[in-house]
Amino acid sequence: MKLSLALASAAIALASAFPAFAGALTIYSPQGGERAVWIAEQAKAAGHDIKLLNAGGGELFDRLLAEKNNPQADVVLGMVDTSMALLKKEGLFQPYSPSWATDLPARYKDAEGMVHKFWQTPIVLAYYPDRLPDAEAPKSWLDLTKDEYQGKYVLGATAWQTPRMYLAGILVRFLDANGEVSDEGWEFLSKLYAHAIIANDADSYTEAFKSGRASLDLNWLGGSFKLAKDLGAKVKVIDTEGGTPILSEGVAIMAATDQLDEAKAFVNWWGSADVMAAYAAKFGQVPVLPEALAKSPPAVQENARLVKAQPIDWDAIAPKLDGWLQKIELEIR
Amino acid sequence: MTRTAGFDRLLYWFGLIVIAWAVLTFLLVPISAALHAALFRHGGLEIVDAVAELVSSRRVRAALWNTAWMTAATIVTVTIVGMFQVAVLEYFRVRGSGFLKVAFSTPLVFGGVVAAAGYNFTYGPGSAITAALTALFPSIPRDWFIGWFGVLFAHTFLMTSFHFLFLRAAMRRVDYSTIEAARSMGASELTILRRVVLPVIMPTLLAVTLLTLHTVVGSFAAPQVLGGRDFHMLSQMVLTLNSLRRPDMAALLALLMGMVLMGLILLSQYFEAKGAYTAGAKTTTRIQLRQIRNPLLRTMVHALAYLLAAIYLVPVALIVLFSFAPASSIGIEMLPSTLTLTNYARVLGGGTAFVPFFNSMLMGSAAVVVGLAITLFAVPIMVRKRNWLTQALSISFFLPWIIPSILLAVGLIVAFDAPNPLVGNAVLLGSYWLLPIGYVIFSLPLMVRFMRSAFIGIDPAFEEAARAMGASGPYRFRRVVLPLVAPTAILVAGMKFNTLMAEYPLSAFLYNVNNRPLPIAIVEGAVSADPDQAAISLVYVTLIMAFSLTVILIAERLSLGRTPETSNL
Amino acid sequence: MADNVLSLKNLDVGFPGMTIVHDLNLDVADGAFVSLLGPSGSGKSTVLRTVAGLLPALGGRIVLEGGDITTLPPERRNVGIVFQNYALFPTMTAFENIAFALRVAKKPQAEIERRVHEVAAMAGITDQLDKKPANMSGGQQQRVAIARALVTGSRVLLFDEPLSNLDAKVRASMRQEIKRLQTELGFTAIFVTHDQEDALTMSDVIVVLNHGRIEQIGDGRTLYRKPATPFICEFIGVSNELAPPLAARLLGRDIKGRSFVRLEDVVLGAAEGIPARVNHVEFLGAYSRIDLDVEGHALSAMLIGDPLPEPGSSVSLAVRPGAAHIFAEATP
Ligand SMILES: Nc1ncnc2c1ncn2[C@@H]1O[C@H](COP(=O)(O)OP(=O)(O)O)[C@@H](O)[C@H]1O
Ligand SMILES: [Mg+2]
Repeated sequence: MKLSLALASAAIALASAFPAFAGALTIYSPQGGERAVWIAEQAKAAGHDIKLLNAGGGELFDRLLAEKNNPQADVVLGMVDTSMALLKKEGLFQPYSPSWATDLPARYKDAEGMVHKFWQTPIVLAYYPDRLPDAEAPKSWLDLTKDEYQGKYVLGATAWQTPRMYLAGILVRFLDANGEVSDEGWEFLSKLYAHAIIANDADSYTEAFKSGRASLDLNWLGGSFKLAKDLGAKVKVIDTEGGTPILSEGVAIMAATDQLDEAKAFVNWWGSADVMAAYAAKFGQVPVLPEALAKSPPAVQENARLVKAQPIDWDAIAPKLDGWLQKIELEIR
Repeated sequence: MTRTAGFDRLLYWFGLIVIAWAVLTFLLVPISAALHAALFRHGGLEIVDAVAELVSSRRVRAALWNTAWMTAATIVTVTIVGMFQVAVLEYFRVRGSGFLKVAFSTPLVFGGVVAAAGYNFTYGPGSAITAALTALFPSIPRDWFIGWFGVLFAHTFLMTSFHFLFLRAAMRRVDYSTIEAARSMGASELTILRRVVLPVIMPTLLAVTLLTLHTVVGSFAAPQVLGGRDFHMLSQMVLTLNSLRRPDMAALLALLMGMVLMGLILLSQYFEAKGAYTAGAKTTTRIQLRQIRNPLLRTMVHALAYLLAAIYLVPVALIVLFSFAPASSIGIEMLPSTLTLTNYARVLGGGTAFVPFFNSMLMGSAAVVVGLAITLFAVPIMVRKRNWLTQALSISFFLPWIIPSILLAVGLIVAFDAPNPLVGNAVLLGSYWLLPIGYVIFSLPLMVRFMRSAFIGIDPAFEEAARAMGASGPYRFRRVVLPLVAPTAILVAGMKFNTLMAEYPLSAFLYNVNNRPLPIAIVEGAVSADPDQAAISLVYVTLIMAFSLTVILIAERLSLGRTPETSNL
Repeated sequence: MADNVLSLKNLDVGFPGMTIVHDLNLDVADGAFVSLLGPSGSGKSTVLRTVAGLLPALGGRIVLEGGDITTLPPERRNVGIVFQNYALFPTMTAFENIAFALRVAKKPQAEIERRVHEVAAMAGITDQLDKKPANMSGGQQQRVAIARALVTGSRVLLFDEPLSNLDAKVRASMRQEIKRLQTELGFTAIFVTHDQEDALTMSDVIVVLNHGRIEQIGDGRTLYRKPATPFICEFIGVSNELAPPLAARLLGRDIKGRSFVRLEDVVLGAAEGIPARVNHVEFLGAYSRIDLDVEGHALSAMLIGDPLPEPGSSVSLAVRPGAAHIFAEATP
């Protein structure tokens, strides 16, 4: 018994002396499930030895901050604008200009040359025409609190990326002169929650649609299509008055990586037009690199024109978001 | 003699120093780091603000109230169900008690998120039972089970493990001659139960109730999965606050819970001491099962017992059944129309689905072994030598019980995110080892709690006899004491292993690329809309349950028919 | 002196800072059966555990077979112990229980087999060796416990109230069993008990302990017939304590101190007796107990056979000459 104890502590001491497992390139990414499998397979086929760590966006963000003194990741891939901006501010990234960056529109690059965006993801309001006639569909996000939509839409957990973004998209419409959300805004949100079906997990989200209760989907574009496909129903995306929040996901190389060359090679490969187009063909994600979009299937190109963007300054919102979410969680829900 | 004794002493001191170091490094430092980080987050103490924010939050107040009344209600229902189980298994003669025993033992291996999901699967809006109910009575809403009722229901049937383990053992210790004496004096069945049996098992019942109370107050999975939008409890609030980046409020709420829980632990130790005092080592007549005379009553007891067994077994059976179903039928069919082994092949075939399973098996067993080693070394010392030092050690071991695991995870992260001299200036965060270390810490309280009782229950004459025959301390421990506590050790190892396989908060915070554990995979499977993932999760859960149940049944076998002291509480 | 196998010389026993038994002196002859008799809490177990080496002696010496063992560790004292409830290890078979001390001493397997079988044969439990204690009767467990105590070749066996939890019938047969084994195997027994019947039926010598000191040492008859102290007189057998006026009347002289008369020494229907009234007659089978009123004092007598006096009747009463026990100074 004491022997095993001694062995264990010896093992711990030994292991902590060599904390890093060298070898594969470690990539932190919120892309999970079949997407992660696809990325891993394609990267391997292209000769990149990678290891993916998947988790929710918020969780990955916390983890990257926590690991600040002993970073495990070499590359961060697919986190949204606000998260990438804050991580950059913490000094976690290093500058690198990928081979595909030259053709990238300026608004998808940062001044420091650290974060490069490769997708855009609209957070859409969509409806199921067989449940809700076209004429009765809402025209704007602000229509949701009307009585006729009571119990017809589902709000996901605030820990998820998507709800955070559309909630922010709604609240920015109610900013007063001081940049604070007005009482009117909070009243709107209270009503939005009071009328909603609430889902804390993916199962109950899907269940709300399966049971036929929900007919409006507040989702990211790909998620909305996927849900419709799983349900075997037709979904229509609304090009809302006031615009739709559009996020873009970026990639960056960690400042502390010990595999810089491999990291660079991977980033070059990942953002290239062919890979982006292949991903678009597989999952319908809209690439922002013009050449990649041109190579993407027509349906994807069409998606790129589906909605007009809501003008949102994500960098300005990022620091306020936590406070808003706290108020929602503690007072409103 | 002097040479080996000297070596033993050396080992003893070495062990003590290692444990002191481990407690300091992995318990006290992380917990104080977490509290410090939480309470002094902007450089100053802002408790007043945080408290004000907590108090003014409608949902925090609701969570407090919900937790309070749910705890009270659960204690009542769990006690009723638990006592009924014990009566059916150990007091009355009921047909098929072997089967009932297996059914009633399922909470030992079916708990946490897994069980809550299983209940949702069985009674939730998409379940066969709901479909049947709504077909019969269209006025019943599909989410009839979701809300406080579902939570109370799940609590009632999932929190009887302590009754199953300890109250049953206490019942077996009742001196049958006292029952016969009472009967000869004309006492009715009810009077005997109330006046003769109950007082004997009362100390155990109190200890068991306190343990259960502890479990309810910290309940997370049941309200999270089954509570719906209107019913939430404190531990959910702690998690929410933490994810809202308000660790200060989370810590304060956690501290409040912690103080209640610490009080409960101290109370239970008090009752334990009292119980040990009254339970002398006197020979008693073994209790004999009572035949229920009244045929109506007998039928009713049988019906209730089997209904209870069904409630226990149906969720488990559905999970096992659907683990053999094609992925496409999960959530679509009420009962699988065809069965297949593909899901198992995918998990056990060594592919990507096997990796988290392997990781968790490895880390879980390592954590349980190390935890047991620490417990088996420290607890006898704590039991034998009662001074402020061992008292402090014992309280330290219980700390992870009163600190929510999220706070513990945060503490471990804060303590080891930079070079720490206590571990040779290594940065443990991000390494393979932080998660298994977290698992060990997380396992200690229950292990210490159970093993304490086991060690206290050993008749000191055994050790004395061995000493008189010349056995040295380590030899006595190995040959005499260890076999006596082995059943308890195996039991608690099995239970803890089972929880580790489904432990979410610590896992989520501490895993790294190389040790992605099962709970993460299971939750991802649940979150992902991919039916294949769901199927694989069911296989995981089935395998874990089968494994843990085997371990626990081995423990039960080992302890059968001897020294009920070892299952003393 | 040479045939004393065990001697306790001015032995003080107890716990640090608390002496329970002072200045104990006792010589035990080889092959003797010595009982340590005393009420519960009188320090019997403490003495036994000190002799066994489980507690350190606070003063004085313990000599076994001519050698001083006062400071030796238990296993090197060559005494065996049979515990209350036997303390057989429930996880081991009878064989392993008996072999325990040999295994500790790292004896070769062949020797262990041989010696366990030898001692098991002597104790008559050869066919029980594969069983675990839970599957044995009380008698078998006792034999295993004795075999376990004897297996290392100990000549002195210490018993700590091994019979205290048994009912009267089993107790009687266990007594015979222990006594039989002791005579057959010839070991020296030191037997701790609070039960006078245990002591009287088995022992060659009884040591009576009270309040941390020896009240008297002697064989059963001596203790019964010539009790050295009032305590012994009351503790062993059943006695009437005579109030001084009654003592004067019955014994015909003034008594300084306390006087006792055993029940069987009160003679009823004596020619020259004192009149007494019969209060109550208790028929106990072989004999009967008669409660009497003698000039306002209660007194009991014992009668063997018939006829029995009627309650309420008068009898004449006397004390068998020389049978009264008189203690000049009341000993504390
Ligand atoms: N470990 C101990 N520490 C202090 N006093 C003790 C201890 N064990 C027993 N005693 C005291 O020693 C006295 C003698 O106890 P013991 O030898 O067990 O009596 P016996 O065996 O004659 O019933 C009792 O008064 C008891 O309270
Ligand atoms: Mg005693």
